[in-house]
Amino acid sequence: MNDYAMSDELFLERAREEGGCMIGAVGAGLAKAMSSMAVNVSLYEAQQRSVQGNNGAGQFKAAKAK
Amino acid sequence: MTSRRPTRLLRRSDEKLVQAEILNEISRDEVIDIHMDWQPERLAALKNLRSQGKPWPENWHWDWSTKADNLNFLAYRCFAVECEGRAQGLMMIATIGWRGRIDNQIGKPVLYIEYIESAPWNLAGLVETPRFSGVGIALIRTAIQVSADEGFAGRIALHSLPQSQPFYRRYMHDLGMDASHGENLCYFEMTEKQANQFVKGRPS
Repeated sequence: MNDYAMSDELFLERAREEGGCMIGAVGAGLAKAMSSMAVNVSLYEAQQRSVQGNNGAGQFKAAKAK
Repeated sequence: MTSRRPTRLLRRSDEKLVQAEILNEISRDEVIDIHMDWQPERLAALKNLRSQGKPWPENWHWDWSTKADNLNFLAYRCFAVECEGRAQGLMMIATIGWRGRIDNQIGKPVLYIEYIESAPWNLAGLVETPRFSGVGIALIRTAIQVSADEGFAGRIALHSLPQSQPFYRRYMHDLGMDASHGENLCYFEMTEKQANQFVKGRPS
């Protein structure tokens, strides 16, 4: 079986290439889950609640997907 | 049960490689705990972006505390990279149900990355100096190893968010927009040869 170990030198080179760039990816299953009703959170609302200090225990109210 | 394997990350404050760990097979609750840990820094960065009139990253409307209930976690295996006591990145993979689409691996099984993300404090543009680099490298290398362990020869695939496409285009085939994906994202595949190039720095 192939061992996909990476040397420190190459890791360092790759990590510098990566920098602080985004690595986000989302698959069909997760996209479906997120686009379901009531799973898209309104961040604006969440932020407003946070600013207003009334966001309870850090739980944000979910909003229906538009 | 969660097990740990050593890896490393690049600490940006002193440009040194530091020891980190890949957490294998973490639970649904652990995934949610990590997102709850990230959330305050996400919101702080969002507030900062809004004050500067900058756009938000696409994935920042995700709320794991709710969406986890809509996802069949039994279909996925979750991994985290941990360093200095905190999760620096998360990845969720599926090893069943995905087949290659590019010419030399059509129909062959591939490991599919359902989700991958770096902690908010590691993202340039959100913080002045990201704390760690190499989170994506460590997680993609893990995906390649799991693919090999499953007999998939290092083949992996994913749907990239728009902001992340330049990163994946360096190492994978870009098959363009995938209309079959609910969010119409670009689809990327890594071949066995590319997997070897990724971890060895040269063709196999």
